[in-house]
Amino acid sequence: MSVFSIIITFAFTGNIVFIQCLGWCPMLHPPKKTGSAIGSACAVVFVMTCSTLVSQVVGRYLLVGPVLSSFRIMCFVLMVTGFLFATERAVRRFWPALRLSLGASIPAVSANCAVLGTVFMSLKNDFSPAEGTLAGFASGLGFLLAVLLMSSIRERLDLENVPRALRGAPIAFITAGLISLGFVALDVALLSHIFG
Amino acid sequence: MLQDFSRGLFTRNPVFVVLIGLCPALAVTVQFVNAVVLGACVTGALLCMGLSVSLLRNFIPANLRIPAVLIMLTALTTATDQLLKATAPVLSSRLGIYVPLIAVNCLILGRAGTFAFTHAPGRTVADALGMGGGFTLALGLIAFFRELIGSGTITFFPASGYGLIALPGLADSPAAVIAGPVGAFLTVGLLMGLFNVVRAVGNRRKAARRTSDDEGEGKTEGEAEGRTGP
Repeated sequence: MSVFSIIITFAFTGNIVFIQCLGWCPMLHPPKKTGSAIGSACAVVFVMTCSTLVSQVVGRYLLVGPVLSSFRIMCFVLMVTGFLFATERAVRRFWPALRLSLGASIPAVSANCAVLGTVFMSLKNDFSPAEGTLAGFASGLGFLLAVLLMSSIRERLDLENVPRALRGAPIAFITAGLISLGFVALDVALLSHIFG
Repeated sequence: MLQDFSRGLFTRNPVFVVLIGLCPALAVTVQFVNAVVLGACVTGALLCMGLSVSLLRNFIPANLRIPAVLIMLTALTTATDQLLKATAPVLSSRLGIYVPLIAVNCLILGRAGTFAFTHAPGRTVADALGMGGGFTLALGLIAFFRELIGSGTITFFPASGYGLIALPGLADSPAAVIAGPVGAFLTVGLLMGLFNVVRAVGNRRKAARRTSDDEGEGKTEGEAEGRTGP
């Protein structure tokens, strides 16, 4: 795949949040301020890029064969969790103003499934390590876009008069469904334009 | 102990009320059978994790809880993945990355990290069965509506030809968008809203037999809402 099509595929047509439905724990309580939303999503972009880089090398050259490949899940989960913990510590240490508000309920573990999903998906394709890392970065950009969209829409929704039964999570999901409709439409139109 | 079990099924349902374990609830509910199999995998993992954590809770130091739980759960997930690959390769490929992702399932990590560390094995098993049952019920309900509206069928077995009910009117011209991620979000959102309505009515009434009655009402209402929604 070309560089352009990897970015389009992983950031838009295969968006980690709206198409793959991963990483919903942070999406349900998105940061209120746009600045902290961008900051914490950038931390996730960083973790995604680093962990896809490591997992591409480890998964393609070290953990191969019938026995060793069964250690993949364990290695990747521990690696991703370690990266997330380390990033959270570093952010807390160097930018105390920007708290990682993505992981309010279970610190660091909450963005875990988005990062791990990216790692497994980039390993499923026949990528070179460089392409895989690019895929991880693009997927992180998709996550950043999703956090921005959800946090700004939630900010406006708080002012609206939503029916009581739909307040909170239900209206967030209906919003996400409508956004995802846009992403699904992008798939057909854009890909046929590029490759057709 | 009975309360530990029944709590997870309705009043503290993990998907609709506590809002954890949502990623698989959104992603794999394209077909009824996928949802039930993943629900069973998660229930099994919850049960094993709850039992082992609860038995080992006095031997694991407090600061090593998260690593210990993660390592146990990844080992268990690897075993589940291999088992599914060996016995049901079709289902395994259809569930794809969502089987390895059981290793970071918020529901299992949450229950193993909090409830199992503070309760005896008996109560933990009851809690795991209730939470797993509630999770499977929720996934089954979501998948039922999504498959019914999105492809006009209900699949009970993965093998083709058997256990597949095709509805005459719907199967010819299904609303295919519901089978995609759009339908996942809309169905979960509307069912969650419906669940809130049912809970509010149930709270107001406070009748002893509220659960069975309202679930029956809920299904027909949900279908109507799901159809008019998109």
